[in-house]
Amino acid sequence: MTVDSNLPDVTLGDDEPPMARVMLVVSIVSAFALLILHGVLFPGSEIPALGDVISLFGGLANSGIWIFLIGILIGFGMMVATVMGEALED
Amino acid sequence: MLLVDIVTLWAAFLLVWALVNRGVPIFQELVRDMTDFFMEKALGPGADLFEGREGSGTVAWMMHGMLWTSIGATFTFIGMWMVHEPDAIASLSSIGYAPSVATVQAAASGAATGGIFMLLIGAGLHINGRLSGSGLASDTNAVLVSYAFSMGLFLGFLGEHFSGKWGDYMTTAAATISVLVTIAVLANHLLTIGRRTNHTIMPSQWLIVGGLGMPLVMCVACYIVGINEALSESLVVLPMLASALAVALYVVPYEAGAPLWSRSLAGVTILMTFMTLSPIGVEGSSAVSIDEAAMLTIFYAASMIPILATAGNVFQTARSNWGQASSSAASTSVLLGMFMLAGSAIGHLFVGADAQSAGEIQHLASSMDTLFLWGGMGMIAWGGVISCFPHASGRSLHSDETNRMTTWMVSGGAVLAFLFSMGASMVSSAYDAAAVANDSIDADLIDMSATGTLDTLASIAFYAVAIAAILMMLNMIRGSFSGTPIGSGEPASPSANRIALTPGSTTIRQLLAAGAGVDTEIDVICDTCDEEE
Repeated sequence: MTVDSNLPDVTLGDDEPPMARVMLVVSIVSAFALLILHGVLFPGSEIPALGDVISLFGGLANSGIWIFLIGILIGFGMMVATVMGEALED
Repeated sequence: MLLVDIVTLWAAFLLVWALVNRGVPIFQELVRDMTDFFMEKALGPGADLFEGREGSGTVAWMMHGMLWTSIGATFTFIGMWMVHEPDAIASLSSIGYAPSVATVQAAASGAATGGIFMLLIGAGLHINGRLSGSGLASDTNAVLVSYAFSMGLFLGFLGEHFSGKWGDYMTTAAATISVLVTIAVLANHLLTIGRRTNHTIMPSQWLIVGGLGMPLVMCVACYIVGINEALSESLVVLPMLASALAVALYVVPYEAGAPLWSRSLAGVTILMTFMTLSPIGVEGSSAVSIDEAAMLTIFYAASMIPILATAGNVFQTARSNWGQASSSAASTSVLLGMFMLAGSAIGHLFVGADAQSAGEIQHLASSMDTLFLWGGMGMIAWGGVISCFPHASGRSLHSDETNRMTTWMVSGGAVLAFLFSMGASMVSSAYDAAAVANDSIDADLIDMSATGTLDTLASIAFYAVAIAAILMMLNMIRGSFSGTPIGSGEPASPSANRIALTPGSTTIRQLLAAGAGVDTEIDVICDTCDEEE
């Protein structure tokens, strides 16, 4: 049964996704793109560790785990900074 | 004899049930006053350090718990990575830190288990206070012992890194502190129930008190009559499991705005949680005969009943008001956690039963532990934090978006880490079995890169859990300092402030249609009533 209506079947809303989520998706897609690009350009070679990219960390960070640990360290740093910032603001 | 030990367990449950329901005859007031004294005044200056504001106990336990969960998740990630690259953090040996894979995994397990348990205890304090109607008996004591428990976790974490006498001293001190703190928290719960203004003791309250009390009673029984090692091993997980079921039975009905679906299923949950033996965490075979091993298997299988009963109960509760339940991050988190808890419990049933017999699938134990701790307990604790923390602190969490995002990060990360690590251990076990069966295969020449790849993927998947814990900690810190005060927000939908009615009958539907809300004042205007009186 067809219902006659003056309203269109589909209308457009005004809401937008939060910028944080957009950035998260773009970051994940970029990471995948870089991984695939590395596989195409340097087939068979290991993914470079932090020490291979930044010579300052050459002696310290010679494992891929440090790329991940940097994120965790920044997270813990943000925890301390947030506590100090909120306490001072109070 | 195992059967006698199980009867002792049932007797302990009856004792706890009778004491909570009827109190201690004659000495009731004396015990209550003495406990009250030891909870606050006897602590002297220690108790004066904290203000004891309502809800502060829950906030302190949850803050400490999330910090330890973040630390535990970080070290679990490092431990997972070191499985396929043992020298990953070898560069830290230059500053004197060069732990083995086993050390990192043991320290991570202690921190993560302690952290998630702290979150569940924090939620339990809030739940018991609310359901009792009188608030928590002593928030001051709850805050104080949260610091003590945290100190115990720190000592245990350090102790895992030290070999020899000092390591033993530290882990012993950590265990002693955790038992003392558990006694203090249990006393707080019992005092709260003793002062309750709501007559009925709800299922969540029974689970909280039983979960903390039963292992302590069985410890005493162990000293007096001696308890089989298999039974003691099953009791280790009881406080955490019972607390998680208590949180699930509170958070879902509360968030869905619907009554708990089934009273009888809730009763079955309480009874069977404490009258059966859980296989979760059982990894080593105990000194039991073949008949006792068969009996253990039956009790292990029966321990699925409370978990499946709770899962069915909370899913049906959510279904009765699905729109509200599914839009709440807390409820979603608990439902996901119950789903994963049921899966991990069934997996542990096979692993635990196998530990008492052939020991052929013990390579799956580690993966099952990951699913139970992070997928089951972690997700339910997450729901408890999202639901209880704002009410305890009086301020909403900083970002609802972070609540939802971290829920999916933890659940996705835990499930993928479980699947990849289980795949790696199954492939590795199959290679080993093939090498043993065929002498012509040189085990050193087998290409094990597949397991290395799966282990790498497992650790990368678990990285999401570590980041989620840190983001949630930030969310809690910002929320407790500058979140919107609870109760100051605008109503969800506009409603009339006041409606005047004339005497006569009116349905709720007609009132709602007229724009009435829960805060609308109803004035019945009757011009002739005074004259009639």
